[in-house]
Amino acid sequence: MSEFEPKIVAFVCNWCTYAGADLAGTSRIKYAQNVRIVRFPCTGRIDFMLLLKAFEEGADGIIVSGCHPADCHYTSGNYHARRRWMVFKDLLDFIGIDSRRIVFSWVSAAEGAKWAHLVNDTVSEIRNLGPMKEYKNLENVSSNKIGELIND
Amino acid sequence: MTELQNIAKKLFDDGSINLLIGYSNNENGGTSAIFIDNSADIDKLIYNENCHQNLMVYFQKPEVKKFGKLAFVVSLPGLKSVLEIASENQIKDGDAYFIAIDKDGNPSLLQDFHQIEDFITNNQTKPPMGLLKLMEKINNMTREERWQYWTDEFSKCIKCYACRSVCPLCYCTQCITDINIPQWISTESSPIGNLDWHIARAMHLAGRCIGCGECMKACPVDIPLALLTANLNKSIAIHFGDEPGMKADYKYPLSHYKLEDKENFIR
Amino acid sequence: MARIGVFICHCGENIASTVDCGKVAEISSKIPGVVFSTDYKYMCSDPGQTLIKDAIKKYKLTGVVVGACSPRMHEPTFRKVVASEGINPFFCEMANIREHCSWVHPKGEETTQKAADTIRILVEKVRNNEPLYPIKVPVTKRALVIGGGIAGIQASLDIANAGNEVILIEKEPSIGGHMAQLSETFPTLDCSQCILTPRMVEVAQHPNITLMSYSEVESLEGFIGNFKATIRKKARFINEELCNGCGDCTLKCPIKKIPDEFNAEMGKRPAIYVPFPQAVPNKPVIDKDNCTHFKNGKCQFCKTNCSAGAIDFDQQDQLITVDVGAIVVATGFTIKGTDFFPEYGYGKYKDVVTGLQFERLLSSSGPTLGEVRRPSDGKVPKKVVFIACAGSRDPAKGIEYCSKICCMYTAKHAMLYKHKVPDGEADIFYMDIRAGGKNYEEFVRRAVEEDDVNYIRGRVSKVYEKNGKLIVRGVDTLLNSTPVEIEADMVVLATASVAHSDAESLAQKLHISYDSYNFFSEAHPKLRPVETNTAGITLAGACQAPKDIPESVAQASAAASKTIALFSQDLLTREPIIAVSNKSTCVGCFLCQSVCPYLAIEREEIKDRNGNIIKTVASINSGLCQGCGTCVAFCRSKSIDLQGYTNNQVFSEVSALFERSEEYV
Ligand code: SF4
Ligand code: SF4
Ligand code: FES
Repeated sequence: MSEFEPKIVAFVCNWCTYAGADLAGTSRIKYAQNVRIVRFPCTGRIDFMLLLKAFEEGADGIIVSGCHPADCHYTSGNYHARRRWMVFKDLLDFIGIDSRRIVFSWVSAAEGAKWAHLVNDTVSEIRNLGPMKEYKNLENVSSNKIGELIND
Repeated sequence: MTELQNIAKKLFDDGSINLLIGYSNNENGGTSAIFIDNSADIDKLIYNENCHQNLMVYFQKPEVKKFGKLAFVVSLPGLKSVLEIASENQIKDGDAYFIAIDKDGNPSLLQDFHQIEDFITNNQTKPPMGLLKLMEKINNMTREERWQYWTDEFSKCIKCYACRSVCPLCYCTQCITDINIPQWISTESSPIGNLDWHIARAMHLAGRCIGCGECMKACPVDIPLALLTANLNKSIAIHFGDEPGMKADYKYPLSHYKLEDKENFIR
Repeated sequence: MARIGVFICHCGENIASTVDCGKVAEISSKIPGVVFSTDYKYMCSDPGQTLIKDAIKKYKLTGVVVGACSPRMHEPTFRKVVASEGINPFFCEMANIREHCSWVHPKGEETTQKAADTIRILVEKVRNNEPLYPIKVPVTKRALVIGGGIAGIQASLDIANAGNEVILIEKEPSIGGHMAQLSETFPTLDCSQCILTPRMVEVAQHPNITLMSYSEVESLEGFIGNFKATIRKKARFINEELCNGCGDCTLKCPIKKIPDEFNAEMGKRPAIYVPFPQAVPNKPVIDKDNCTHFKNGKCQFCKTNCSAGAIDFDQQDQLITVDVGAIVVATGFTIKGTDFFPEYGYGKYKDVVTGLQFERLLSSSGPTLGEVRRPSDGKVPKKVVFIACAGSRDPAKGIEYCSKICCMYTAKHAMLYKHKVPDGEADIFYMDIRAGGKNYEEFVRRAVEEDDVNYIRGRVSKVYEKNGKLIVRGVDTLLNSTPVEIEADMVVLATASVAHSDAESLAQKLHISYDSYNFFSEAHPKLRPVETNTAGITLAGACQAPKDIPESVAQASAAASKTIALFSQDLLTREPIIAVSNKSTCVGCFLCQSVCPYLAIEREEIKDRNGNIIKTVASINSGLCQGCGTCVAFCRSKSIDLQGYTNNQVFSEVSALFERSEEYV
């Protein structure tokens, strides 16, 4: 069997990470193909619901990335995002979703190489974690337990 | 006449209020909310350890609002929700009177947020042991066990939204679950839909939940909902040092930030 | 029903060498709603653009996805193409299959698959796009310039000369700022007042400039093109209309011994005074705290002696509201006083002075009429020690930055001192000599070579008084840190330049950001050095960071040119990528309000027919919103959405992430 190829989605801000990924391109830095990029104006725009949705769509890992602190194009979107993620991560941990599947990183427009590394590292880390079984299994837990509940 | 009834009567007599929301005995031997709009009914007003419902949930209801001058019988959690919704621009100082029940069951009349803040500071209680124990137990599980635990719990959810309707902080006119463009959360009680709902609910209450535990008591299938928000509040207290429901001018931690916020989880 | 066209560019070999473009076009054609799909060698070329235009006509397309390079490169190009065919430009999206795909992955199926996925994601976005129209905001062509130092003067004159109205406000009784206090300026040694005062007069006489001295900003509302500023015009107790500036009153005032601010407290002034002879406006002001009349109701000597009847003890502060379209902040800086330095005597030695005080002693309009005489006994000092970097570049003192102007003015001070006291000795303790600037290095060399100024590299640890002399103890680090002790007649401290004590509160009133030293922050340190993060507000001069005169003037002209460019249009056009709130679902929790970096979220009261407030909801000021979307992700009830990145769009994009292309095969 061929090696498990994780599906990775990257939610990135337009001004830093998207541009950093552009730079990786112009510098022809090669990295893993597994990643699909969704562009946002700013990390502040990234709704935690979209992360859930991505898992639901079959993502095995998620990269969330934007401007370094103090560099946000809108001055503070990333600071708000940082708090939101901190709390969200704790919630996922508590529920038992492996929060290592979400990788947060600051990648500036000048860090093409960092972007490439980030993708590669994430791919290999998620490859080690294996497929995101939890969500996939959920789809199979078809009927809920209400039946049992009513019965007893 | 009890002290509680005395206070209530006085409020009616001097014309301070048109509606009082408190507790009375019900025919099942329990207690339930009673809406008193004239002082003749005051003898039905009671307070005992069975009176747990957070009556502040009624504050935002238009049917209640139209009475104008209001009074609520509230214990500690209720008062905390007053301050929390005050910080969320939903209630102004002077919008209502509060007959506060202290930890010994004695009533007193509170009129402004300042008095409420003092009352809360002086009447702090520890969260119920059972909840803390369960929280610890879950935190000590392996991740796989936790996932199993919660999928089991969530799979019971029938999406009745009782948790939402008893929550004094779920006052949105449009809840995210009711939106269909886009359909953020699937409406059926499917495993994924349930998970999404409970995560969304917890996130929306993170740093806002004042821990009255009503959601858990209302849940017909006994999902320990309050754990999710209690655990989140714990992380918020650790990360940002904030606690909801203590001050009327509370700054919601998720819409403020500090430059030095922790970021050791960010690469 | 959406009719979407997909156009895959080969970018010569740039994309086509690793991505099978024909295959991508073929896969894309199977996406529901895609009615046309093709690939072409150079989409951005003329024939490529024509191909798109023709397809729009032929297939009645309602949306276009171009799979090519980064949208940061060609998005405007393709949006224009689409617009030229009458489609709203926001129905065109670019899928980045070059920078994010062909250039970073090897040739092969996976890479082609990724390109196809990227197209599909953007098709879903386009499907959910809504037409957006540029936002037009009217512009009030009147500028407010805050601060009447050289930067504010320059900015005002430039803006006014371009034909725009300017309101220049200055918190002191006269404009002129620090430059008016200087004796001569480096590196040319021309007389500061001689070059400045004509500019001051020009301001006063300019038909487009309204000068409000002794005035401060009280509050500011609004946004670019549409600010409303409230200005507090402080009572000067003089009717400016009646006053003819004769100055009789100032001569008659019985109070004479108030430390004179203009002379850096090296001289004295009366309670009613004009700060300096060339003041603009040349109208006195009564210093209420020191006036006998205000203290005990007596005196009124000035009033009895004013032939114009201009003294008005009943005058009150006035609040004046003005509409302006742009603001230049030019509030300058101040310096630390000698009292900041315990090691140099906490300000208790009279002959330890700041650079600014020494400047006044050198000035021919100063208290000693330009003779260098020391404050304690009026004697001419024969040995003067200058200490550079007093407080600056000193983490222990909390000021880590370089004050920038001290190296040069200290050289100038020593030089001018030597010109005036040729048999005197001048020693300068310095850390490094920073003389970057046109003719600056030469100037410092001149001080050393022609005027015999003695530079000692090292810090001074202590200054104390002994037998009428000041003992200066330091080390010479160029001589193995040998201790040096000098008996001086006078010590001049080049004290750190710092922000004004009210800088922070001004920044908060204006909603502009500031750094940890309370200097105002520019929008970008390299590329937007004069704009602030608040659109329509620019910075000039030392309120941003310590600067010398030429730099302040240059920045002032730059701020003016930004302002003039803004005023050159009647309507300001802005990208419609902004947030909008849904007033029917918003519950008015206003937790979102604090997340907006631009304070664009306002409270709007919704009233019923009788005018009773039903509820208060969030409303986004489209002039202020920059479209970050932080509020959007934040709102629990999804009552705010971001145009161009709506909830529905991003949700659809995520929903399309991993559908396998086989579904379409
Ligand atoms: S827009 Fe949302 S977050 Fe803002 S006030 Fe309204 S409901 Fe609250
Ligand atoms: S999108 Fe950003 S700039 Fe616009 S109102 Fe929301 S938070 Fe403010
Ligand atoms: S713009 Fe990149 S994080 Fe805000």
